[in-house]
Amino acid sequence: MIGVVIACGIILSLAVVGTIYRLAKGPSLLDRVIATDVLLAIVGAAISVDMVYRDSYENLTLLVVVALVGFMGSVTVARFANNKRDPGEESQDAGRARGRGGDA
Amino acid sequence: MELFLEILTGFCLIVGCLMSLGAAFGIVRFPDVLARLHAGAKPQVFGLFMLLAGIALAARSWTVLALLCLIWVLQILAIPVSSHMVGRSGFRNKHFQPGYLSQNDLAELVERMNEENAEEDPDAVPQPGRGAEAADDYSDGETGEAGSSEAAPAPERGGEGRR
Repeated sequence: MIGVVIACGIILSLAVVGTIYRLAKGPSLLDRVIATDVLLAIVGAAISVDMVYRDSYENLTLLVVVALVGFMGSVTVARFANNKRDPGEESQDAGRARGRGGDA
Repeated sequence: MELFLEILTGFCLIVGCLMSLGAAFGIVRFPDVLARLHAGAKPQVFGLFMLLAGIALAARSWTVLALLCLIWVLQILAIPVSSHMVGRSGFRNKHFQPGYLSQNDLAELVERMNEENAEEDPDAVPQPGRGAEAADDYSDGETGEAGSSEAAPAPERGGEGRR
């Protein structure tokens, strides 16, 4: 069982690194909202693995709270995010996508 | 039997964690908000389900199972709504690449709505001239007939981006 826990820890750490990269860089507010949602899902995963490892299940209520807070946060931010996309903010990915669209 | 359940628990936990890793890869690699949204919803639905299944297999108690069902139902109700809100906001504010869409039925509607909003509340648009310019650019890209219509405005927009 300890092997599974270590493997889950490594996987979740890598996931957190990728998510925080997008959270810091993400060109728009909505990218950051999505990254925050995934970060919250990773926290929930870590809580679950921890519960199985310690064989004590009090933190299930914390999992409920995490699910609800993530929902309310992303809905609120998405409701009030009204910024137009700034043409100056287009990333290199965007340029590549447009090139591909032109080829098709 | 005990060993089998333990292995199954470990498998469920690892698959649930791998969903998070997949979402992180998708969020880093994918080009626009709608694609990232697609990747980001995976650990929240399937990943969480696998983790909850792992907990249920490890705990083997009815009270825990009831609470797990509550979490799962709440999440299933919440995730589509929040994803829809984020996607709606992303679509209306044009956080996507028109080149990726083969058909865009909502383009005219969104355009009309933006115009109505601008009429109702002129102060909300900080630079009217620039906003109109950007709208023209995107409407060129959104005709969606063929690649030629999208390839034409590309250099112009690239130059604008570097301005």
